Amino acid sequence: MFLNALFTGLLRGLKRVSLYLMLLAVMAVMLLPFFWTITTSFKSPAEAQSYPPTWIPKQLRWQNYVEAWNAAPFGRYFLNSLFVATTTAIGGVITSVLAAYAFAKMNFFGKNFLFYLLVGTMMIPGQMLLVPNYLTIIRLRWYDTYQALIIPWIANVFGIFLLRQFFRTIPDELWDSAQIDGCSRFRFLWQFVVPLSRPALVTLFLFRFIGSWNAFLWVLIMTSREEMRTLPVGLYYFIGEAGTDYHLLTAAATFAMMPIIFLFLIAQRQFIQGVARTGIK
Amino acid sequence: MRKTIGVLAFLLIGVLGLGQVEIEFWHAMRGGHLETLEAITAEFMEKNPDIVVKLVGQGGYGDLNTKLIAAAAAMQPPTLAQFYADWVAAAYKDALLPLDDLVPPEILADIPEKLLQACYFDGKLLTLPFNKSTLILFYNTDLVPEPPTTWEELIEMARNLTVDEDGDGTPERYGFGLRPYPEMFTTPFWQAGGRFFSEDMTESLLYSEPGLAALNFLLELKATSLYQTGYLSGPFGSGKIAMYIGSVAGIPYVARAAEGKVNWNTAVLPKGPVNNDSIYMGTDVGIFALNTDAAQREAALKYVLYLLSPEAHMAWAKGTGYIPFRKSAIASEEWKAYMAEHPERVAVTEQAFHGFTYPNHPKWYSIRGVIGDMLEAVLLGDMTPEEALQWADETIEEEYLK
Repeated sequence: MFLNALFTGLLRGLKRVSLYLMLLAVMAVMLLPFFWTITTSFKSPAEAQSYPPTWIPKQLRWQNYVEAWNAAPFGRYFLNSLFVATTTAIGGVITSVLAAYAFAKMNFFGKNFLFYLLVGTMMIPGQMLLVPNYLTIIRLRWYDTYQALIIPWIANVFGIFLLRQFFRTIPDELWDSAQIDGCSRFRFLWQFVVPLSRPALVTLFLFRFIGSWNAFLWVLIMTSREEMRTLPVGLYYFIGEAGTDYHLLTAAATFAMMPIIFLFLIAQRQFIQGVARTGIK
Repeated sequence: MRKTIGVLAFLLIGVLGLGQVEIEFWHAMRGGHLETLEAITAEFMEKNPDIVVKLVGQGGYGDLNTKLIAAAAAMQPPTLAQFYADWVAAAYKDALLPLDDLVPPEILADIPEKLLQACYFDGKLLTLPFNKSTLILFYNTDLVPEPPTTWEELIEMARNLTVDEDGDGTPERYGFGLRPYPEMFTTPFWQAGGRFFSEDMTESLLYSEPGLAALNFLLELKATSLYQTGYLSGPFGSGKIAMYIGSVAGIPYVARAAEGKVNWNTAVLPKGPVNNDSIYMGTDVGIFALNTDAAQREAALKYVLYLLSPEAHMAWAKGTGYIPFRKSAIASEEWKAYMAEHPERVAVTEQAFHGFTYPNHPKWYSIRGVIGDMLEAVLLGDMTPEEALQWADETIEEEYLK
C-alpha cells in the first residue's frame, strides 16, 4: 500500500519534472534569439563578426547604443512609431468592436455572406495590393502624411473576426434582459459587451500595436521624408550590401523592441486569456 | 530704406528659392556609403546653388524597385534613381531619358566598354554606371606570400594550406572559403569562355565546355574549402580560411574582422582557361523622362555628370570601396597616392578593368536564381555537373526564354 503510494507519487513527480524540463527547453529555444541580440549589442565590431561566434561579450561596449542611436534620427522614428502604432491600435479596436458586434449579435440580410467575404480578403497577399494602394494614397494626396500610415490600417478584418468569436460567447439572454430594462444596442455594447470582452480587446490592441510597430514596407512605400518614417525603416540603416553591422543593428533592435516587451509584460494575463478564449492559437 | 529692403528681400527670395530646381534621387545606399553620397551631393549643391538634390533612401534594392514600379504606375517617379539593368529591361525602357546625345563622348570612352554595355537597352544609352563592384581574391599574407594567378595554382595552394592536425576529418584551417551564390559560378563560367544565351536570347547555353569546366573547378576547390552560406569575412579574419573570393564591397568588413589577428591583402582573380574577368555587380543611375520637366532633367543630368567627374568619382570610390572605373581617374597622381596608402586597393583598381556584365534580360533576376539553385545542387552533391547544367538550361528556356 505504502509502496504503491510512493510509486504513484514518484511517477507523478517524474512526470512533472519532465514537463518542466521540456518547458524549459522550449523556453530556451524561444529566448535564444533575444539573448543573442542583447549580448551582440554589447560586442565590439570585430567580436560581433568573429568566427566561431562568442556567447558572452569579452567587454561590454555601451557605446554601440550611442552610435546606433546617432546613426539615424531615431528620436523622431520612436515618436512616429509610438504615435502611429497607438492611434492605429486604438482606431482598429474601435472599428472592430462595432463591426464584430453587428456580425455576432445582430441579424440582417446577407450577414454571413458579408462576413465570409470580409474573411476571404485575408487571403489576398498584401504585396499584391501595394501598387493599387499606392495609387490611392497618391490620389488622396496623403503621400508622406500620418493619414497614409494610420487610416488604411484602422479597419481590420482579423480584428473583426477575433472579436466576433469572442462576442458570440456572451449569452443572448443578457441582451434580452437589458432590452426589457430599456437598454439601447449602443449602450449594451459599451456597457456590457466591451467590459466583458476585456481580454479579447487587449489582445487585439496588442496585435494591432505590434503589427504597426513592425510595419516596414508600407511605411517605406508611402513616405519619402525622414520625418515621417518609423523604427523598422531605421533598423535597415545597418544592413549593408556586403555585410551587416551586427553590433549596431542589435543595439538598435534592442531599444526598438523594449516598448513592445514592456507592453506585453503589463498586458500578459489578459493577452493569454484573449488568445485562449477566442480559439486563435 | 523700406524700398531697398523690399528689393533686397525679393532678390534674396529669387536667389534662394524661386530660381531653384528641385530633383529627387531615390537610392538604396546606407551607412558609410550614404554618408559619402551625401558629402558629394552637398558639394555639388554648393557649386550649383540653383539645384537642390533631395536624396531619398528607399530601403534595400528590392524595396526600391517595388516603390519605383508603384511610382511609375502613378506617373509620379522621382527625377533619378538607381537601377539594376534587369529592372530597366523589364519596366523602365520607355520611361527613362535616352542619354546618347547628352553625355560627352570623351566620358563614355573613359569607361570600360563592358561596363557600359549593361547601360544600353535596344541600342539606347539609358543609364550610367554608379556603384559598381567586382569579385576579388582575399588572401592571408601570413600564409600566402604570393597569391595564386591561375585556377590550378589556386586549387593546389588551397590543398596545401588545409590543415587537419588531429585527423578528425574536420580541418582546423581551410585553404579556401566557398559561399554558394550565382556569381561564384558565372564568373568562372565566363573565365572559361562561357556565354549565357544565344544571340537572339532564345537558348540558354550553360551546358557547355565552359560550364563543365567551371563546375569541376568549383568541386575541386570545395574539397579543401570551408563551405558556408554566410559571409566569409568572419572566418577569414580569424584565420580559419586562408583565401576566399568575394566582393570588393566586403573590404571594410574584412579589415574589421582581421584587425589584430591576421595580415591580408587582395589580388586580382586567378585566371581561368580564357581570362580573369570578374562579374561587374551593382547598379546604374538613370533619369526619368516620365513626368519630369526640362529643367529637372537638365539638373539631373548635371548631377549625374558631376558624380562621374574625376574628382567626385574618386571621392566616391575612396569613401565607399566601390571600384573606380574612369581610366583618367585611376591614372591620376591622386589615385596613385591613394593606392600607395591602401595596398588592398591596387588589385581592386586592376580588376576594375577586367570584367563582364550579364545579358540585359528582363527576367534575369529569376534566371540568376536558377543558376544559384543549380550551383548549390552540384556543390551539395545532389546532381552531377552534366545533370545540373542540363536542368538549368531546360528550366531557363522553358520558364523565361520562350
